[in-house]
Amino acid sequence: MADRARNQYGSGKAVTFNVITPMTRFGTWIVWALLCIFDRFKSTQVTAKELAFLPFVHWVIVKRDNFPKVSDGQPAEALHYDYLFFLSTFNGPWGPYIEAFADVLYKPLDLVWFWSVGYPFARPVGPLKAYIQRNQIESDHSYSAYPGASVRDVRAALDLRNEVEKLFQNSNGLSPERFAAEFDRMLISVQNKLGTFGPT
Amino acid sequence: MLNLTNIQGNILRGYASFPHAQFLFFAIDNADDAKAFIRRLLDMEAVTPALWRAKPDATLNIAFTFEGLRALGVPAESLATFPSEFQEGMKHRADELGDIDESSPEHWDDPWRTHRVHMLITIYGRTEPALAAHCQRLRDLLPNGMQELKPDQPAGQLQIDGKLTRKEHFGFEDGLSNPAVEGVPDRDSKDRENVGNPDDKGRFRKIPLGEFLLGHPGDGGELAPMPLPHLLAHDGTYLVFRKLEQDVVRFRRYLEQQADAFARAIPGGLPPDITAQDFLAAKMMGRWQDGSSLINYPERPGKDRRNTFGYAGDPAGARCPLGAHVRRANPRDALGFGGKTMSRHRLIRRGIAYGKFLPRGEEPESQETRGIIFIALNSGFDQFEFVQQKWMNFGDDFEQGNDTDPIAGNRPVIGGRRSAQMMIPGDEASGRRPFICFDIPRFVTTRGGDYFFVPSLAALGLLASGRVVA
Repeated sequence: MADRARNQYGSGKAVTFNVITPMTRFGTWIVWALLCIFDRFKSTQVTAKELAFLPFVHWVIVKRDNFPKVSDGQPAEALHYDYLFFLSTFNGPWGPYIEAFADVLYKPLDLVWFWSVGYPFARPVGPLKAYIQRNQIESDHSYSAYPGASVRDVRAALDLRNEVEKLFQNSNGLSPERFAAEFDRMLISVQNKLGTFGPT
Repeated sequence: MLNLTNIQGNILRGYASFPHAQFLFFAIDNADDAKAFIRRLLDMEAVTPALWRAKPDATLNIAFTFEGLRALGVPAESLATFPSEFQEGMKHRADELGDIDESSPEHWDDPWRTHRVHMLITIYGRTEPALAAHCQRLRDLLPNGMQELKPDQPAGQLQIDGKLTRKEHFGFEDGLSNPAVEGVPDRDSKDRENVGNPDDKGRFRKIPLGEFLLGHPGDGGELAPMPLPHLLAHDGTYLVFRKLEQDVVRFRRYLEQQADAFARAIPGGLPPDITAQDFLAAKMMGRWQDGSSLINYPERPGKDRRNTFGYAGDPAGARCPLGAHVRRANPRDALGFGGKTMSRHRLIRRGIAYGKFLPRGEEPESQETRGIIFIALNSGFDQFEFVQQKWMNFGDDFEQGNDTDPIAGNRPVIGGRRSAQMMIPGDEASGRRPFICFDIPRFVTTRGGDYFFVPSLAALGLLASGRVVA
């Protein structure tokens, strides 16, 4: 399964990643409270946002009596557990993604996944990889607004536009020498945001 | 416990004092003959361990491809426990490794293009006669059931102006920075200082043995996945062998073409005694040709190979560009998180040059090729493949978008553009303007290689006995 989470050249900029794990009933309420805290206090998300190979990380609780049905005629299943649905996309090979996740974000991972049945803790990462492989679900389809852009590409493009617009607004009436100096200042401010981009 | 008499040589410490090398490739036609041959080498104590009683005149080490282990009669239950990259072999990993266009396997040299090498025997000599004599002794022992695949691959430390050096063909000191490994002395040789991985406090910590040797704890205290049986894997490692051809003329010509424009980006002019070509080459490599770091010596070479430097103090790359070769190959503290996102991607390198050095101003003889035999050791091929995929042939981790390594990267067309540019950041303090190297041609082309397993001496004995049971 892990090998399928690859695009051309084995990397790709937004490989989808879904894990669904059963939770105890008590755990559901703890996880719900944790997710509310993560949502309310954005500072808890800082480290995850700094991991720029992660375009997107999302946890969803699916209650046992609230599983989606294809049609009204589909009979409801009698499930024993609530489920924790983890959705993410990442940029790069599967193994190192899990390792970096476990090495850097082990605290929130353990807090949220501790309530899932059979969760082995984030470290050591070997058992975590096996656990994820057992519970991972492949995506047949996924939507990406910018399939050719990584998180860093998007941030760089936004910064670049901002800086160019600033120069445009502030350059009216500048002498050629002053404009050259302002242009050089702008160029230095965006110099590491000019890499080529596109789908890999 | 580190048992250096069980681990093959040239893994934890390099053969720096053996400047001449020969790589011999074999196919196994008869497993019994091959097993008897290995037994004979072991009985003669011909296989060089990491620790020797008396320094030999020449060394000998053995490694196998997956097909080689199969040809040797290793049972399927054991073979199935080896990593998938090893089972597939390097040719089949071409897309992942960026071996495309001129580097693709259909353009490789023999024997890689036409054969599947089973067994690699590496012989290093302190002198050329000692190397030749050792190769001859080995060939004399070769049984009928094994055939040598031609051509063999001579290699050696580069001779420049009559002196043996540790430089590679582009003129840079090579092998300067290998990982400092727990339980192993810090120095490869008198002038080679190894450093480990950065920690939270900006210091370096030694790297656990298990990142490079099977059966020992690695980063995070974990064992790398081990093939079975345990005795076969323990104290063994995985070896990446790549024949990388360097186009020295193209490299020098590109530097000449860019030199004037680069010099114009430096308002006060170039530092005295430094040519624009040398400065630009250093920016692309991330070190001066003498091995000194751009972090410690941003304006001129310092004849100083100290290795305990980091990149965190140079976040914009004003000294060492973010996309420079050595900053990509070993980002040290550049990626933040106390080194946690780079610590599992380290490699021990034992590369050695092949071909004659081309002095500046001289034209090469036709058909003459030169390059490096890239050898990397790791406890899982995912370590090497990560570096190759994410750091050499992609630039996202270094804020470089899709741009590939300026020296060793491939040149794919991505999103309609050829990824062949490099940003050399400017420096507000000195007024040096940013400079973009456009249309960088391919300087390094893959000409062959494969993935090998290097067993311990005990495991070689097990293989020779034919009693491998998973």
